[in-house]
Amino acid sequence: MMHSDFDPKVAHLLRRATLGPTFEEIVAASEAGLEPTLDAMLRSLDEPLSQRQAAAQAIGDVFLKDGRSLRAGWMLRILNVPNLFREKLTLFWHDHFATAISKVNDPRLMAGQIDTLRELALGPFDQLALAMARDPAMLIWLDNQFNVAGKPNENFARELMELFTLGIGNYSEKDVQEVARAFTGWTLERKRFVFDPARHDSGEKEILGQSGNLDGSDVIGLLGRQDAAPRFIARKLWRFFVSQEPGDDDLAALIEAYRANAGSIKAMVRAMFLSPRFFAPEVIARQIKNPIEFVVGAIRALSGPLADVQKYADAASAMGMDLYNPPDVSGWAGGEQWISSFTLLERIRLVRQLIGKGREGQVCGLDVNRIIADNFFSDNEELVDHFSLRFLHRPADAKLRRTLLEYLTAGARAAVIKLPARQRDEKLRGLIRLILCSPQYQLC
Amino acid sequence: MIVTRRQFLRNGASVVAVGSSVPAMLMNLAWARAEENDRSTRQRVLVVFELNGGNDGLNTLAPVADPNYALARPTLAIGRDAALMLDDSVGLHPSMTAMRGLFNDKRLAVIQGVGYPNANRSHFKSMEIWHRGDPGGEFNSGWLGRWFEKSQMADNRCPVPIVHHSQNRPLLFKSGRAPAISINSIDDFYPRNQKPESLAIGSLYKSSATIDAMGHAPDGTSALSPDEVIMSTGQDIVKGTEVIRGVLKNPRTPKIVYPDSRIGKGLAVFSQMIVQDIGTRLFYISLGGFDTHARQADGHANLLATVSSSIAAFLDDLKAENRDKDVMVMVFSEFGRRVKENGSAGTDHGAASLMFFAGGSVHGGLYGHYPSLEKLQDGDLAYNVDFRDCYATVLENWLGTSSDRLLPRGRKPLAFV
Repeated sequence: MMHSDFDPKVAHLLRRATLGPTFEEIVAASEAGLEPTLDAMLRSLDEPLSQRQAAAQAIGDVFLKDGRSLRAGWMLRILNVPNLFREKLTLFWHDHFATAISKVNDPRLMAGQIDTLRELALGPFDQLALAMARDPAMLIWLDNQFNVAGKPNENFARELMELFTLGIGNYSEKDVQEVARAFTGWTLERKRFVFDPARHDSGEKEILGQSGNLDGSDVIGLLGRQDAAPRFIARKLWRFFVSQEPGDDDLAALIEAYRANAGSIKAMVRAMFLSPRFFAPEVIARQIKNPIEFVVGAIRALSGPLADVQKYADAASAMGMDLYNPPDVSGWAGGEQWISSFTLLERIRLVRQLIGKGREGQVCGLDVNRIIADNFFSDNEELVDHFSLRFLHRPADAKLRRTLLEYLTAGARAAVIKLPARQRDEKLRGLIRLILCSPQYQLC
Repeated sequence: MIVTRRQFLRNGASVVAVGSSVPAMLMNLAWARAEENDRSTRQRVLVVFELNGGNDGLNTLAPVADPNYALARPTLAIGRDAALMLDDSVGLHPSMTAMRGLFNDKRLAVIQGVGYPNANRSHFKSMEIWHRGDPGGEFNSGWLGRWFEKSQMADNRCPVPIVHHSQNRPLLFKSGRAPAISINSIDDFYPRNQKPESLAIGSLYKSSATIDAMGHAPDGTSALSPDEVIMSTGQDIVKGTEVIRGVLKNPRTPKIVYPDSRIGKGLAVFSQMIVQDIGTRLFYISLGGFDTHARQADGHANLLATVSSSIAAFLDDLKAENRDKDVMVMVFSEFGRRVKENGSAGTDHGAASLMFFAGGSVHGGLYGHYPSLEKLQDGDLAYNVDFRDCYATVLENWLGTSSDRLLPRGRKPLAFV
């Protein structure tokens, strides 16, 4: 059974470009159509942060006590704001310019950095990179606050090229030293960025074949113009939004978009989502959900109580994605690294906690009475197929479907919808738990 | 009651099953070939301890007799009076008293000047090189993952042969199907509830033909698709949970007080598993914070104290259980740091550094020679011991497997074990 008003391609787009789309959102977007949905998404980034988002920002300000409260604040925002495309992009940039509170040790500066990424999420790349070079949390994180003429500190210079713009192999050790000189004097005063000419090395430098009295802004411009830059960014985007192993062909359109549009990230992202490869069968539902995708998807599908945002953010952290605190400057390894015996157990554990909640006729906050009333299921098979589509956005594979049907039948004298309310709810709880714990649900 | 594999063989399945619900099928899986393996019951164990971020080897083992040292490190140099001297010229950082004790007992080998050709100063590239055991591009998998595939896969019946105390599986264990279990707390392996759907979750992850019949690339790289990764991890959990639950029913009290830290607790869990003889061969634990670009003195001292005291507690605990001869701890970091300190009382990325090997069977002492502080390479120490030769020593002299095809050619094992 496939809903005529449920478009799997739209579901795929929303899963990858936003966070945990619900069944109802996918149905609504399917009615609008694939391209109008994508256009509206890209357009939404031109609009200033909406009032509701600004309100969420204010809510977020309450969560500035420490790293743990910060991540709860971001979780609350994700569960409240309408534009999850922007949040997903912000998460991508957080992973890219990975900065951790473990060293920065200042929640306000961390929140400020993420707000900058949120504002500039689709901005020109050099603008974004320059903003990060001047970002107070970044200046602490990679020690550039201590980078002074005569005694350069290479930490920021190296990671700027290796991890933020070019990738390894596209610069020399000498370039690292020269770039470090260019960023001397980019420091902090009362936790704000300042340029201190007295500590800046204004001598001649030679970087990637260019020489002159180059400073940090010149370097950012120079790096953005290297051939390696769009290739590197395109690959990162592709790995985060599409698949782990991009081919050269896949990236060509993104690189071209960057070049033709003066380093526009928006043009790259548009090219990525319009690429025929994005909708190929080997891409759809073949990416392992990252912990935020998993947690937010489960909470939104089950209308989990907002009062528990701290628990949700803590759960994502236990699953390996601690917001504001990536493991190191290269960000999260991602892909199959999301799954270890430890993190998979954490996923299973969160589902158990969520499913345990709910009044009669509900599983967690999901109104199962309403779903049953709306759908006229005639047997267990129809019920299983509906709930599979609702949570997985596609039919259950043969093994899962068989397990679900066996589970519903075991010890029950009638089809689930005919059981007394309590028994019926108990079965539905187990059914949803099984779907969310299944191997299939771990894929995005 | 503590059940060892030996007792299991003597007393049969009933012992392990007391108070638990280990299905016969899983008991089978765990112990079916235990009898065959029992001739070498006390198999040797390797504990890998990684220092993340690039440990400053120069201040870990300080060449205090060399005047160039104090010149290069005007604010950071360890004074001769403070250093814990191992011979006339080099001494351990003052916070490493516990490890000096191990050295005096001849239970600690310190390998000086360890590195590899054309040192890479990127954290990630260099970590990858160490984890793969290969500075070239020959191997994509982890060096210990390769060892497991080659020598253990066929007949290691222990359902938890590889244990890591970290959320992510470290690259050094990576291979097609080496079943690594992450164990941040043994509690994670105790039963939750036994509702019907809990059992059904297990059945969703029970082995299927797809996984069993799956092959891997000849070099041992992972050929798993995302859903196979998820499936096989689920199977690891099902098997590992049952066995650990059955065997570690009653936690033991360590013979030694461990430092009250994440590392101390992690090593205490390792020793429990070793003492109770489950058959785990490889353990991994890591400590971060070694990327000391600025104001390194206090932080580095604390980190080294943690490393030193927790490893000493671990080995003393095992010694009290008469198991320390079966266990070797290997300590490494992706690179050392620049000889000359920077302007922020820290040190930038460097090259050659040192490794530690500790345990009851280790031939304690100093190995390699301390790199010259005058003949630097781009401001960094030059190596004289290739880390792959240290790995070859582990493979050949400790784990008992030829390093041929596990490491790039031309290895020369050392004599520290």
